[in-house]
Amino acid sequence: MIHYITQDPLWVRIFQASGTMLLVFLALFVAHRFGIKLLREGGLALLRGLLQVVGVGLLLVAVFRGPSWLAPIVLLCMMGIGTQIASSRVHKLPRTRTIIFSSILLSVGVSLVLTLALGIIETRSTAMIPIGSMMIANAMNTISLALERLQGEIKSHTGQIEAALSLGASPAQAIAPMIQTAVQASLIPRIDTMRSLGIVWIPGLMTGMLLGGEDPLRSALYQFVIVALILGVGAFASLSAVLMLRPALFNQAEQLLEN
Amino acid sequence: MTTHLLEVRDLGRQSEGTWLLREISFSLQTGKLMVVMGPSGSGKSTLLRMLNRLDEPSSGSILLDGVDITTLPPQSLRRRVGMVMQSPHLFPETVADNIRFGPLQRGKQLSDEDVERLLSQVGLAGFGERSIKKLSGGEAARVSLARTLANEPELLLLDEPTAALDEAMSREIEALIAGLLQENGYTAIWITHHVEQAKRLAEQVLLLDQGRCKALGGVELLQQDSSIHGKMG
Ligand SMILES: Nc1ncnc2c1ncn2[C@@H]1O[C@H](COP(=O)(O)OP(=O)(O)OP(=O)(O)O)[C@@H](O)[C@H]1O
Ligand SMILES: [Mg+2]
Repeated sequence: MIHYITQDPLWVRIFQASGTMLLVFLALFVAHRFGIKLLREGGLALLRGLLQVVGVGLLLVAVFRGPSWLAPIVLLCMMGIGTQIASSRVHKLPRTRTIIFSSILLSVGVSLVLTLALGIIETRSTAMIPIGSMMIANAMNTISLALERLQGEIKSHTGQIEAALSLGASPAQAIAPMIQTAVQASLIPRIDTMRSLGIVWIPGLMTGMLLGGEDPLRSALYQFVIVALILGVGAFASLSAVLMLRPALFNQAEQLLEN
Repeated sequence: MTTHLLEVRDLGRQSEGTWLLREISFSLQTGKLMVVMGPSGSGKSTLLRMLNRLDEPSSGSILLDGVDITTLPPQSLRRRVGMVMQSPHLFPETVADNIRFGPLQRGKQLSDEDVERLLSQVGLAGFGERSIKKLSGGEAARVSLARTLANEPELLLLDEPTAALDEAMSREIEALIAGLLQENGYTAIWITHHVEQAKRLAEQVLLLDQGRCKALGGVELLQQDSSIHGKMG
C-alpha cells in the first residue's frame, strides 16, 4: 500500500515508523482513559528511542569502520547510560549508581569474555557491539526489575525483617526471603523467553540464518546460545546487584535503614 | 553489687530534628516487671526498640547486666533481650518454623519435643504443623510470644501484646503471659494502654508523655495520677 505513495526506501521507513508510533499512542491513549498515566512518559520514551537509535545508527557506521579498540569504549558508554536509566527507577535505595554500574560491568564483562573464548563471536566491533549491547540491555532490565521489586518487598515486609532481626537473625538472614523474591521476579521474563523459544517466538537472528541457507541445526544451536547468554547475563546481573546492595540496607548496628 | 539487670541513663532519640524520646532514666531489678504507659505517640515503642537495638539512641546509654549494649554484638544482644512486637509479623510457613527461627540463628536446631513444649506453654499444643495463614489473631499473638521465648531471653519486652484482641482474649493472654513471667522469674517491660491491666501486672511503673518521663515509681502511681484513668490513647 505504502508503495503507492512513495518508492523512496527512506520515506517508506519513515511512514512505517510513524504508523507504529500511532499504534503505541493509541494504546497509551486508551490506557490514559482508564487512568493509567503513561502518556507523557511513554510518549517521551518513544521519541527518545527514535532519536537515539537513528543517532547511534549513524555513529555505529563510523565505529564499525574504525579500529576495534573503539568497541569497549562504546560498550562502556552504553553501560553508563544503562546505569542512569536503571537507577532512576530505584532512586530511594542507597548507592544504586555504583552498584548497578558494577553489576552490569561484571556480568557483561564475564559473559563477553566467555563468548569470545568460546568463539561464539569474533573480536570485531561489528560482532562485539551488537552482542555486547544486547547483554547490557538485558542486564539493565533485570537489575531494574530486581531492585524495584526488592524495594517494594522491603517496604511491605519491614515488620517481618525487624521481627527476624529482633530474634537474633543476621541482616543477611533477615532479608533473605525478600532477596529471593526479587531475583526470581526479575528473571521470570527471561525464563519465559527461554521457554517460548522457537514455539511462540522465532527470533530474527535464526530466521536470517535459515533464509541465508545456513544449516537448520547449526542456526538453531547458535540461536539457543544467544538466548542462553541473555538468561545467564540477566541472572548474574540481578544477583550481583541485589547482593551488592544488601549490606547497604543495614547500618553498623545491624538496623534496617529507612529507604 | 547491683541486682539491676537493666539500667537506662538519660536515654534519648532524635529523628529529623525532633526528639521522639528524651532524658529517660530508670533501672529494673532482675525478676521485676515494669509497666510503661502513655498516650499514643509518647514514645513507648521507641523505648523498647532502643532496648532491643532496632533503633539507635541519640543520647544516653543502656546497660544490660552492667554492660553497655553498644559494646555487645547486636545479634547476641537481641537474643538476650527478647521482644514481642505490637503485631505478630509471623514468618511463612508453619507455626513450628516460627518457633525454630530464633535458636536456628545460633545453629541450634530445636527438637520436636522442644517445639511442642514451647507451644503448650502458650496453650497451642499440637499446632506445630499448622500454617500461619490459618491462625486467629489470638493464636498468632501466642505464636509470636512462644517464638520469642524459644530464645530464652533474659529480658522480655512486650509491646501491647493484647492490644489487638477482644476483652476476653486479652484477659486470657494477659493471664498466660503473667503466669509465664511469674513461673520463670522473667524480667520484663510491658507496654499497655489499659490502666486496669497495668494495675494487675505492675511492680514498677513508667509514665511517658510526649517523649518525656512524666513519672517513675511503684503501682501507687496508677492510683494517684487521675490523668491516666480511663481508656488512653
Ligand atoms: N521511624 C520513625 N521516624 C520518625 N518518627 C517516628 C518513627 N517511628 C515513630 N516515630 C514517631 O515517634 C513518636 C513515638 O512513636 P512510638 O511508636 O514510640 O509511640 P507509641 O507510644 O508506641 O505509640 P502507640 O501507643 O500508638 O503505639 C511518634 O510521634 C511517631 O510518629
Ligand atoms: Mg507503640
